[in-house]
Amino acid sequence: MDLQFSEEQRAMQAQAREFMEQHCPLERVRALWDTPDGCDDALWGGMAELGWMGMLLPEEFGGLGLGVTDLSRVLEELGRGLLPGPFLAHLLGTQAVLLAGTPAQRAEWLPRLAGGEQRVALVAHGEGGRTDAQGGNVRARASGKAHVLEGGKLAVPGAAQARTLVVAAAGKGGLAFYLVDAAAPGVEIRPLRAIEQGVKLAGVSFNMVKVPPGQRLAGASGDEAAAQVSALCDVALAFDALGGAERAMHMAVEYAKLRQAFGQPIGSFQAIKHKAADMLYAVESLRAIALWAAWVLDVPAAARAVPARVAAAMARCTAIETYDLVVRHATQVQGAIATTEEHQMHMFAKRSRLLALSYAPLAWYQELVLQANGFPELAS
Amino acid sequence: MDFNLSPEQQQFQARVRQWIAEHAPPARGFSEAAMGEPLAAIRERYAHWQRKRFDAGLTCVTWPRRYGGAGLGVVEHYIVTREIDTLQVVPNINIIGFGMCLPVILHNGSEAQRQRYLPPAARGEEIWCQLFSEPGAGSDLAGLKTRAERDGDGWRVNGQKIWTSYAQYADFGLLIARSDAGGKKHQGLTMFLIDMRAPGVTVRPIRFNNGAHVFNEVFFDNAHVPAQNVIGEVNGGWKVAIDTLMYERGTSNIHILFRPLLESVVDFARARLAHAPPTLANQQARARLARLLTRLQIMDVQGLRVVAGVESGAPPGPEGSLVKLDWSESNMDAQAVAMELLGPLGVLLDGHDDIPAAGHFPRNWLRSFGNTIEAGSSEILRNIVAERILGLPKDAARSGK
Repeated sequence: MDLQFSEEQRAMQAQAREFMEQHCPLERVRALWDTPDGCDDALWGGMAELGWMGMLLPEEFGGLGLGVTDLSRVLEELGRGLLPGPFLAHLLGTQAVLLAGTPAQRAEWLPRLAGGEQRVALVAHGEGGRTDAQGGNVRARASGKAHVLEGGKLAVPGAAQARTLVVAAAGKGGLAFYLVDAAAPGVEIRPLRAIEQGVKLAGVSFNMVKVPPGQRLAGASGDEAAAQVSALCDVALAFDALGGAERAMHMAVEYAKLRQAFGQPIGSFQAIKHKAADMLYAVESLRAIALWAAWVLDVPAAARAVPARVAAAMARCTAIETYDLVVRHATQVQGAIATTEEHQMHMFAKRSRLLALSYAPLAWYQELVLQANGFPELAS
Repeated sequence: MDFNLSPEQQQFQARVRQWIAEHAPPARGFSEAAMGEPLAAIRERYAHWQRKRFDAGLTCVTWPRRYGGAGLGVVEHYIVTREIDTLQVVPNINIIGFGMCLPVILHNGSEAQRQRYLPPAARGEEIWCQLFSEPGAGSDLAGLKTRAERDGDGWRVNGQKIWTSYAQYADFGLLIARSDAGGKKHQGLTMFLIDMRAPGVTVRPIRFNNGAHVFNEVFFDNAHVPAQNVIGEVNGGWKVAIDTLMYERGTSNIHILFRPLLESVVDFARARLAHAPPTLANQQARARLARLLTRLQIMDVQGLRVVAGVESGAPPGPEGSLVKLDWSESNMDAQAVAMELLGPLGVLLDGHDDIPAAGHFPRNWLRSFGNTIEAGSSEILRNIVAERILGLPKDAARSGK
């Protein structure tokens, strides 16, 4: 048993925090909200230079060959800094290529994705969170050697910033991933304006979109790859929430130490103190479950006591409820000013809601946890 | 990052499991439910089982061997607690002794006190209780009024303690009393050990809201305490009390002992939902059950973080302060969910032909109210967490300004 981070992991986290403080402080984040992509070349290039997009990729593809716990050191800091833009969408799309691609497809695509020269986005989560063959609301059918995609997804992070979409579609034999040129005929991407304007959402639809033969990822089961990508997604969102919630908590706590009322700092009042304690309790619970889930993902599948998806779902459930509780308490502690546009707290509140509702909702993860623990399916 | 036990620790765990398979009688369920059984019978069952554990080296795991311990580390302690104590073979009527009183003797007691008191407790021959709370001093412990006055070589104690768990069994008590009425609030307190059978010591039961008898009132009427029963310095009792809380870190595993209570809810709910009609109530319970399953995993990880922190010599993190809040408040909600799954029958105290679990959950639910108050109320724990970990200022009354 060793529950400490390695020196390298500590260094990675420190580097990520420094990067965010220098290159993407909250004022810059807020400015990027008003740009179409939520990101610019300088920011994207800086992240690429640090190797973040390829952290999980083997070195032969230009990656760093690291694990999810290593990556978590960076993700927590990106969450603390409310990183805008399509980073996670690209990371997840890249991971789908790694997991589902043939050796030739990996060799062709991954080097370009590892360095961020070409941007992809994962298009896999449908309404209600269903990512699997039964629920996928994009369908694929064979047409000669090619495939034709039909259907759409509601609010896809990063789709409008990607050159290529990594699309999960249901077809004969289950789910498969398709690499779809965002500019291909029949692909429609409609940018949407969400409450959090850093991570850009878009509606995506496919109207008789023809995908060339080499662009159906055919190296592994699409269902299995989708499950693994989803688990990574859930853990990534948990660390995003951890970093953001912890920062929002500390903003409120520092305020409570300084702000005076009735002749003393408001942080000396139990009503405030207990909110602070509840925030800490929630944040530390999230840290515990997220670190454990990251470790589960890093352990070889055969050696896992719990399936990766279940561990990740527990982290995701905790993340949704923790971030929600923290932004409510942190706003309350700081009073009226925290409800204004000029204050930064609303950025955390908006991020918490975006994370809570993106990809799949809380109830979906709760069902996953229940059924993995032997509970019967929800009766309809 | 590695949550797995080391190969040596896994071997130790396997040996413990092997011993259990050979020696443990069938579990009887939650120990406080042993109501109506005569005290002597409970004590005899406890002593018999504790002696078996002692002979196998599976109790007092972190104590040195010369005091009856196993001389092993906190991880082995964790393994033993997780594997053996959660079986609830007997009511753990010395839980306060092992968790609080005896560690104080071990760390703050004299060599003579250690040799006299630790081995018999390890063998299951002597039971301890902790005499801290008073009718007028609970969360504000330093406001206690029980007096210890010099009496020849020793001391004469007068006053009253309350909420004393298992005092009805106890042979000895760890007593904190005011030894210098003129000193400041936190000074002038002394820690003693007291013979609970001594003249002038009277124990009266307090029944829980579920009928169980765990707590007591203890009255001292000119009870004599010999001089050699002072623990630590005279008038240095507050420091001993605070140190105790530090020593508890890593070996206080009450959150593990509560797992069976929470797991019984999960097991019951799983079976119930498999057969019960999909009523609105049953559907609505699902989110809370998913939360409970997740909470069990979080508590596991937090417990491991505490143990791993002690093992690696790292300074205490916030996780240790949070585990008590965690199990006590989770338990309350969990027992309520189980009752709700039973619908109107959830309030039944006695067995019902169709529902073997009837009675179990309402009793546990009633008991859970106390869990959020004893050993640091939820409010005090939140104050501690906010002040010590987040650095918020004490309120004006407590900071003495």
